[in-house]
Amino acid sequence: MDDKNKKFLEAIVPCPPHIKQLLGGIPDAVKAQTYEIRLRAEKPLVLCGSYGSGFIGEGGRFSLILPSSPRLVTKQELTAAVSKMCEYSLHTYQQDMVDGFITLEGGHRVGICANSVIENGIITAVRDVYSLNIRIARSSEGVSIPIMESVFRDGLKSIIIAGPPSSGKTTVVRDMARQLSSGFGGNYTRVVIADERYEIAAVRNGIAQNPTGINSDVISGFPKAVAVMNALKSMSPEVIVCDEISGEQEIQKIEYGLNSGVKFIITVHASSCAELFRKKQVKSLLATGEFKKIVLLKSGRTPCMVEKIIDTDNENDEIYRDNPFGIGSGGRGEFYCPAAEKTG
Amino acid sequence: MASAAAGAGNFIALRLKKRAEILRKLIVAITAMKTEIKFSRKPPLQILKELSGRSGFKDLSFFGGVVKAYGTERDFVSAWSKALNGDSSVSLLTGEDREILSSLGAQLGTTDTSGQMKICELHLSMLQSNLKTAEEISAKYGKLCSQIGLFAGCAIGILLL
Repeated sequence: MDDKNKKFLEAIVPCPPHIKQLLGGIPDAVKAQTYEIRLRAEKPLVLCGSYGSGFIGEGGRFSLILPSSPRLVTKQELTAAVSKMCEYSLHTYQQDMVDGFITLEGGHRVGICANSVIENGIITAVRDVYSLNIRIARSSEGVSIPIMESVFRDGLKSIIIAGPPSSGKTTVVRDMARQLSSGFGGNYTRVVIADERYEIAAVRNGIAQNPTGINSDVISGFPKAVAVMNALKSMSPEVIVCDEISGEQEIQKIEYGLNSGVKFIITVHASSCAELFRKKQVKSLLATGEFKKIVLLKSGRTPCMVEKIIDTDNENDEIYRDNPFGIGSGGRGEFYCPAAEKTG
Repeated sequence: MASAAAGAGNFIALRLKKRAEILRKLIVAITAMKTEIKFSRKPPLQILKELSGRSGFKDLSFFGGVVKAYGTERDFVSAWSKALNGDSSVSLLTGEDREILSSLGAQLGTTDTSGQMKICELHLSMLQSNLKTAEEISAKYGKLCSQIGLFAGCAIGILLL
């Protein structure tokens, strides 16, 4: 069976039996192109993929146009699906529910929309789940290799991966962690992944659902600042990977780590260079002088496409420019390197 | 004939003793479950899986039964009920004991951690009360059953002679 179809079938396991049966019966080509399954109370079952949005009819027929009798998801089915996703254990997934997502076996993530229960101004729980968005995890092994070959050609260094939402930042850093800890460049680099939101390694019941490499450790669920400090104190990492840096405290701990000689691979939300350099946290990080390269990813339907790689020592020196490679292109694309031109 | 009657008496006494023993193990297991929920927030199914592997609970196959039944049933509560009704390790429990276990199974995993603590404590207190009664019955009637069995056997033997 095709890996994409296998992933699709894995992601629908917690769905209610009839919905699972209908989804299992859609054409393999649709399964392979689907990246989200949306279940909303008393609304049609919607699939999202590279084809746009599609629907399932009562009879199980997939259509890009809303059928006259679409398969509606009942409130009971939604509740049953949530219970199963939580392994019938709300106390285990309470915080995840509050944070708005659950990680499933296989690394698939389920976004949750629900009403909040607030106590003393703090969200303590959720109730009345209204909709679920099952995001199907796809294998992305090797997507970061062209980037790594470019940025780490003269040794390990700290880098920033920037891009708009859904541009593949997390996918790229996950693959980087895997490659580095699995012998990239001839070294099994000691990598620690600070995975606050379970997005990189997607640890469930103590097992990383996404491949993170041989010589890597994952600190899951800890605030990034705490995870970085814990890693520095006890794991002696060579590289720490952090996703979506935003807070002042995180920056301070990263600076502390940089002073300890550790390299960082971090991601930041930014749609353009202008936006990136406006960000206070990026300014602080660049001020350390340790972040030598910035990889800016493209927005668009195909993730992990590089817009450009910037050498921070010389902001005008773009190693890549508008040069797509990765998942979508199936190759590295054209390589443009001013340094290579100089050296012939 | 006499030995058969005595054996029947002993069998009843043994059952009474065994019930108390099962209740005692269940209390230890549910206390362990409560600790796991409090400190690690593990899902009930995972806790049961771990408990079923512990040497102290090897003869309490009910936990393993729930895990096994979960593979075929659609949800945790159904799996729990199936194991409760079908597993031999809990067959000596009374209807009341089973009701307590059934109620526990229906509520495990349905609330937040503090709620789960209260649910465990409530069911533990009910099981402890049943254990006390079971021990009293076992102490009071266990010996009596063996003796009645023996006397009845002797009486039947004498009458037949």
